[in-house]
Amino acid sequence: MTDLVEVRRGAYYDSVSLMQVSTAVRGAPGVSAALVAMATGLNTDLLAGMGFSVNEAVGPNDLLVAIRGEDVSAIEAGRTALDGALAALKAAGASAGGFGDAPPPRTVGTAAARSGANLALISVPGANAFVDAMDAVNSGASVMLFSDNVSVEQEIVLKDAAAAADVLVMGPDCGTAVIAGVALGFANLVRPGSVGLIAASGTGAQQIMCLLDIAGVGMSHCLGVGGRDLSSAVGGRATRQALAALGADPSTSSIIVVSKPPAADVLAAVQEYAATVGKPVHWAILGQGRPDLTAAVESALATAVDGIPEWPHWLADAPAELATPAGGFLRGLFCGGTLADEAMIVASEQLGPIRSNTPLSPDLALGPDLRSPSHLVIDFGDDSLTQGRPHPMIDPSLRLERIALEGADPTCSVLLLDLVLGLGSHPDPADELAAAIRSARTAASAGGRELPVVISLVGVEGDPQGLSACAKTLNASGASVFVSNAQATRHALSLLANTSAQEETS
Amino acid sequence: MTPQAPLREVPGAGSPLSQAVLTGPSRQAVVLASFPTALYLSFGEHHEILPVLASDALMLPTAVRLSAPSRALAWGVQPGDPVTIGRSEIRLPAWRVRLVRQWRPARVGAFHQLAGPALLSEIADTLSRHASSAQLAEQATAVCRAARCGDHGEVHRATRRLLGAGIGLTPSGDDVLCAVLLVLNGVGEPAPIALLGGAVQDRWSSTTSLSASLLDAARAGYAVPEVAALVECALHGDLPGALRTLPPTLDIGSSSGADLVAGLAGALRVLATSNSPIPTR
Repeated sequence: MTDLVEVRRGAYYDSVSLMQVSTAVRGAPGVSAALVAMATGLNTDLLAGMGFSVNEAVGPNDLLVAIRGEDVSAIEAGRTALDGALAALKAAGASAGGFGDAPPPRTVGTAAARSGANLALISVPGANAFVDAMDAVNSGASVMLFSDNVSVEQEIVLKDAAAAADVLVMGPDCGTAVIAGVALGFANLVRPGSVGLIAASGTGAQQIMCLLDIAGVGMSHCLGVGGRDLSSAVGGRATRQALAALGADPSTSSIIVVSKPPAADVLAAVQEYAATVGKPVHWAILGQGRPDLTAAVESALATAVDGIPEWPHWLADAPAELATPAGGFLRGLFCGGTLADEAMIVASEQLGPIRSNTPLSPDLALGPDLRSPSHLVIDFGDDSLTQGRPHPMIDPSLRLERIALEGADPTCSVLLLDLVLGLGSHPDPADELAAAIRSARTAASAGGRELPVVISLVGVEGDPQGLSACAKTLNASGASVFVSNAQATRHALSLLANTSAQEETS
Repeated sequence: MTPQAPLREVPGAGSPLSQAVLTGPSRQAVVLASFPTALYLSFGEHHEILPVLASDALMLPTAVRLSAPSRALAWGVQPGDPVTIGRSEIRLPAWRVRLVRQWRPARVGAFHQLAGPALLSEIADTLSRHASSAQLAEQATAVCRAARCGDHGEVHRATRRLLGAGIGLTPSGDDVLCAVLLVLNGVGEPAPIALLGGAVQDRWSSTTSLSASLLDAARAGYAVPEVAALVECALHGDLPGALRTLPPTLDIGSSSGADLVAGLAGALRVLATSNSPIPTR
C-alpha cells in the first residue's frame, strides 16, 4: 500500500463540497481509502487513526488530503480525481456555495432586490396578495397581480404606492399582459409592433390584440390595469400610470385603451389626461350606444397602411330542414367576461333584456341555478363559478355540461360560444368543444329541431393551438366560427331572426 | 509622471462587535478565504476574523456589510494576500471599503420567562425531526446539562469531542456548540456560559478560524438573524414562529443549519427536563 498526505493552504470548502471530493477520490481505480477535510485537530486525529502520518505543521485553516492506494499509479489516479473534482467545484462556483451564501429569498421583495428584477407576477390567494404586492412595489418592482379577491381599498393603496414609486400595478385580477413581447398569464403570441394596449379587461385585450395581429399590426406592450381601474372608486389610477409609461416608451407609437363599461366621469378625466401624453390614443370602451371592440379596432386601423381586413370567418353549412323551437331564445355560454359583456350589449340592442350571472343591470341577474326561460348569457369565468376550480379557459368541463343541457332544451334556438386560444389556455380545446357541439346538435336533432351554433374564436395563427386549425375543427362540428366576437354575436342574432321569421311564415 | 488613479471607494456598515479593529489604528490583515459573497480577513489571533460581505451574503454578526450584491463585486484578492484594516476603512489592492455606519447584529438576549417544560419538549421534538443527526443532538444535551451543572470535567471532555468535529469550514460539532451557547444566553445564567465559553476558548485552535469567530460571537449571544430568531421562538414556546424560522435556518451553509438545529433541539431537552430557577409559563 502507498499513502499520500498533502496539505493545501488557503483552500476553504464547505462540508458537502468536501464530501463530494472525497467520494470522487475514493472512486479512483486502486484507491482504498481517502479523506479530504479541513485540518482541524479532530480531523488530524482521525487521519492518524486511519494510519496516515502528517509530516508537516498544519492548522485548521488548511485543507488536508490523504489518499491510500494499491500502488503509485493508484495514488496518481486519486490525485487526478482530486484535482478534477476541485476544478469542477470551482467551475460550478460550488466552492462559493458554502457558508458565504445567504439563504434563498423568502419574500418577493428580497427576491426582487437580489435578482434586480423590475417586475413581479403575483398569483397567491387574494387574502395574502396585498402584502406580497406591496413588498414588490416597495422594492421598486412593477406588479402583475393575477390574484382576485383583493379589496378595492387595498387596490387603491397599492396603486397610490406604485405611483409614488413610479412603477405600475397591473390588477388585481389581471389575467393578461404582454411586456416587450413576453406574454404573462393568458396571452396570445401576437406579432411585435408599435401599438401599446392598456386593458381593464382580459379577454377584451386578447380580442383586440388578435384582431390587430390578423390585420398585420403588432403590439409593443399590453399593460393590464385590472377590471375595476376605471370605476369611480379606483379612479383610473393604473390607467394613468400606464398611459404615462407608454407615452414615454419609444417603441410605442399609438395607444389603445380597452375597458369594460367605466364610470363616465373617470373615463372623461382619463381621456383628458390621455390628451397630454403626446401620442394618438384610441378608445375601445364597452357600453350601450358605444362602438363594439371590433369597431374600435377598425377605427384605430383607419390610418393603417394595409387598411381594415375582412375578418376571417367559417360559416356552417346551410341548416337542415328541421323545425326550430317556437319562441326560442339565444343562449350565450362564455369563458371570457368581456366577450360575454360585449355579446350582451350587442344582442340587447335587438333582443331587449338578457338574463345573466354578470348582468348589464342588477334586475337581470340569474338565480343560483343559472336557468331561465329567456335569452341568457353565462360567464363561466366569473368568480362565483371559478371558486375551487380552474378557469374555464383551462378546464371547460362546467361549460361542456351546460352545452349538453342546452342541446336537450327545446327553448334554446341559437347557441353562442366563445373560445380563447393562446398561452395559459387549454392546450387542445377545439376537439373537446367540437365533440360537445356535435352531441348537443345530435340531441337537438333527435328532439326534432335544428340547433345553430356560433363561435367567437379569439386567437392568432402563432398561438400553440393554431387559429385556423381550431376554426376548421369547430366548423366541421357544424358551428359557424368568427374571429370577431361582435360579428359572431350579430350572426347568432341573424340566425335567431331567421328562426322567428320561419315561425311567422309557418 | 502619470497621476495615480484614486482607489475606488465602496461604503460599508460595520458591526459594533468589530468596532475596535475597524476604528483602531491601521493594521495588516491577511485574506483567509475569498468567496463571491464574502471575504474573510484574518487580523490577529486565530479566532479574530473580519468577514466582509456582499449584500446577498449571510449576515455574520461580526461582519462589515456592503450595499452591493456579489454580482456587482470582484474582490480582486486571493487567500494569503495582505490587506489593511483600521481608521474606519479596509484597504484592498484595487479598492477600499469606507465604514460609514454601523448595523446591529442579531442577538439572543436573556429571557425573563421561558416557555413551560411541555412546550419546550414539543418544540424540541419538532426540531429533532429536522436535525442533521440524533447523535449530535444527544451530545448537545450532554454538554448543555454539564454546563448548567457546573461539571467542568464533562464540559471540557464534551468540548474536545465536538470542537472541529466535521470536515467543512464550520464543522458540525462547532455548530452544535454555537447552538448550546445561544440557548444558555437565552436562559441568562452567566456561570454556564462562562464555563462552556471558556472551554471553547481554550481550544480555539482546534477548529477553523471562521468557526472560532462564530463561536466567540455566540458566547455573547450573537448569531446570524435566522438562527437568533429560531432560538428566541423556541425559548418563548412560540411553535408557529419556530416553524416559520426553521426553513431559513436549515438553508444555512451545506449542513450548518441542520447541525445548529440539532444543537438547539438537544439543549432544549435540558431545559424541558430540569428544574430551572428561571420562571416558566
